Amino acid sequence: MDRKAAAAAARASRREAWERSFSPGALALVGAALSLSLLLMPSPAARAATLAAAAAAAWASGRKLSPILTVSVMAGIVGANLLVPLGRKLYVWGPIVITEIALREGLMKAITFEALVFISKACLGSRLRLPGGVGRLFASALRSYDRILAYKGKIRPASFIADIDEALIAVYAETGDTVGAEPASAGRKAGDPWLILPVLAAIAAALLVP
Amino acid sequence: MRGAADRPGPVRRFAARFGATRLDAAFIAAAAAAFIASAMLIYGGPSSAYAVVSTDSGEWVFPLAEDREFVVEGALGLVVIRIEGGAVYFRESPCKNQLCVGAAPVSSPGQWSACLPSGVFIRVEGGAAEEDEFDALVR
Amino acid sequence: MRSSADKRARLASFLAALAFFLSAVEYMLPRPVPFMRLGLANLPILLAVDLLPFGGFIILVVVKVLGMSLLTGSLFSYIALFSLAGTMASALVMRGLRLAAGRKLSYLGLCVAGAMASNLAQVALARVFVFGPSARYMLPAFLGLGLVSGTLLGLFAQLFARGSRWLAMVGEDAHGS
Repeated sequence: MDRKAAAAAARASRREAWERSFSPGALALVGAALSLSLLLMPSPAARAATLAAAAAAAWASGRKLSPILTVSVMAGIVGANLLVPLGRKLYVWGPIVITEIALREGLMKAITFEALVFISKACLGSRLRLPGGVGRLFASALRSYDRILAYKGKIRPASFIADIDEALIAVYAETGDTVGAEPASAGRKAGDPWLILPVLAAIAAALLVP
Repeated sequence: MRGAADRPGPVRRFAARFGATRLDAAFIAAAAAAFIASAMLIYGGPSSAYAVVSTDSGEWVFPLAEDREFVVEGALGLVVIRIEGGAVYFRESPCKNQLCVGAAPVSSPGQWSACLPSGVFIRVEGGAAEEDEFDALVR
Repeated sequence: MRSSADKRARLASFLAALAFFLSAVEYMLPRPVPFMRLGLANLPILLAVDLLPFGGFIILVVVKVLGMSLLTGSLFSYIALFSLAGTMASALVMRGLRLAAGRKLSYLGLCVAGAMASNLAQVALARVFVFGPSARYMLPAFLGLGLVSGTLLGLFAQLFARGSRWLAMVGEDAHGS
């Protein structure tokens, strides 16, 4: 097995273990609570710690992560904030000026941005069942999405639009009376009660760490 | 048979093939105008002006565009500097003669203000560069 | 005989699925900057301007944003906020223009207007939440991108709409003929 396939297989098994341990509803609620707590944390160090923990959780949940993307996005956010100098000059290199307040705000924004991304990645998934009409529509859209992906017909560049039209007609015909069906909920899982721990930690960090 | 002079121009033919309308063209033109205007305003305009405050312990940079008050440590104690209405001035100083506090606010690049006893200097950088700039004027 | 409400629900769900698919396609394409999006996934919403009633239209927008945020795991992050603002701005502008200008505007004009509105909304949010005052340096680039992508997608949408049997068939469903 080559490296990419091995990595994908490892991710898949982590994802299975994660989904066995936690129910999607509980995870979603925890994700919302953690995100809110993060936004209320005044301390950059606390937010950075949350970022690390969330990244670890996202990895454990079997999501595909790209450290390079994360670092470059954070660098971009910090860089953009540094473009408008503000505060005490910390470092000057030619035209580049790094100032204290701009740097602090840039770091804070970058850390917060990625922490929220990782919390979302760890806590959300397509198995989540939303309530009400929106939920039913979403569930049926997911089923149609699967059918689109499974379409076997060919799309050639020469007859691009005609081929797409064929595909649309074919897949649309398959979407029958499935919209009304209420999707089954996943039920409680063994790991759910443990999810309260990260929430308590985050709330404590928001309230206690200056 | 239609001669070359009778055929609608290439733009018209292109538009007809897609079913584009006059109003479409107007919107595209408006969007292009907005794009060009924003590029000219944001990339072409003069860079904003800054107040650069220097003391022995370091330098601070603050944009003149935003009203702000801040404190720096001078040789004699804390000095309060204020940015208001695009200009910067000394608001409070522990010096004896209070010349700095009485001086007029400065706002143009090249202008400066100082509290010599405290060792605190303010200069304005950036902004619209003037053609003939002098480092100092003796009146 | 399926009721027209059922037909509309089926259409809305299919359009949402198309939006998910086009989002996935867009994700695969190489992007110069992580924040810039082509707007492929807004094509179903463009078509929905004429296919769904206003309530269903808004629900489609919400399901599209919600769905993509759940699938990519970004619902609680600023990414979802940008997506919601951009898609909603684009959708409302396109719907409003259709109401105001009727057939005098084709999908080309609607698409360009929608793309500009979407990018404008996203730059505004980026200024507040992510980039600070230097976000304005991104504005011309985003407007330029909106102009180009809106024009190309709009041209494609027009070409597609003129020749599509699926659209004709579904249009009949939507208007209950």
